[in-house]
Amino acid sequence: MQVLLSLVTLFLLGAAAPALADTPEIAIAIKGQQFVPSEVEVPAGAKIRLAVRNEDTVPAEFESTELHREQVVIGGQQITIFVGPLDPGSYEFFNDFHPQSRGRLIAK
Amino acid sequence: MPLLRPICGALPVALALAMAARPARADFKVWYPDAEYGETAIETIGNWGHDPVAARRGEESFTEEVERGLTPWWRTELELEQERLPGPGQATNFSQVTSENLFQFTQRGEYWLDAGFFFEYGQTMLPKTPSEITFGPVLRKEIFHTIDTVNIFFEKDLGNYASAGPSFLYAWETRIDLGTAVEPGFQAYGAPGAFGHFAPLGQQDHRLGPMLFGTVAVLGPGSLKWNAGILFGLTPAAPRETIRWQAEYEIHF
Repeated sequence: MQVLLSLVTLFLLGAAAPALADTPEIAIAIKGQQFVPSEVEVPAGAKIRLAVRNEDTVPAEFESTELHREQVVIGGQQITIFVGPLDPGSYEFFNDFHPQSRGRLIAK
Repeated sequence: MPLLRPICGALPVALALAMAARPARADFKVWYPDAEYGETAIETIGNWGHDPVAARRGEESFTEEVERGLTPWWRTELELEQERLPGPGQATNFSQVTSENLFQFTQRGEYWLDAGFFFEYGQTMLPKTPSEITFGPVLRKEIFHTIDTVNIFFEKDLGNYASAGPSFLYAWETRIDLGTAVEPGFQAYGAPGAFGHFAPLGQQDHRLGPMLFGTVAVLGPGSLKWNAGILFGLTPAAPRETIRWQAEYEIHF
């Protein structure tokens, strides 16, 4: 049991380690229930920080099946989503509250 | 002394059956360290255990939940549970009303490990049965195109019918990150016994098996996440097979 608790402690200490300060930040806005820009080029092989700002008054949800991310962003507020490191390729995301609103991350 | 020998021989069997007579857990669910702020959802989880031995056959549990991410770091759920103990002649009973809470410590993907903490209070609805609290860390690591989540929980009975000490529960999930609407993986669940005094291995409940995980992004006014599969009993105290399923419908408003 002591071994188990030690492992848990190590895991938690690892989780408490600071994020890399040089994580690139990509800004995406939601305006008129559309992503702006709707296609974003990001570096492959690196962790990235998506700053998603909802400029509408109604809530939206940034969601991506391919990226395994979903997060509600209240109207007028901003959220941060960490993704990657990504393999080169195209990753679709959408607004789960208005699924016709879609965008793509292009990892190169 | 000869009289003691059959008693001693029968004792482990009786203990194993006693362990088997109590479901390992109310619901087979792997918790994720996500508060899901702003989301409202309903969820159902169920399982059915089958075994050639009648005493271990027919275990069932079903839950219905309403959940809401109240803050960026706190999600709360209210759950109704029904259970059927294994063995012939058992009935399915409304067994517990449960308040479940997940506290998110880290932003997903920000650190080396995603971490949260789970706390649950379950109020028994059955006579001569203890209420209980369950708590412990929820940890997740995304690595090598897999999403790996572990729950390390301690469960403590409350009230007059409480057992002596807290018991230990674990749950493990590995999901293959294919980026598709349906992905494979596996889950494992275990109940080794009382904290610090684990039962002999044959009396511990350990189950492991393949699962499918799916998402239907648009379904009516919401979206559906589901997972289902079969758990194989790894020890005599567990049913040979447990079919389990989980479906969460997220409502958008």
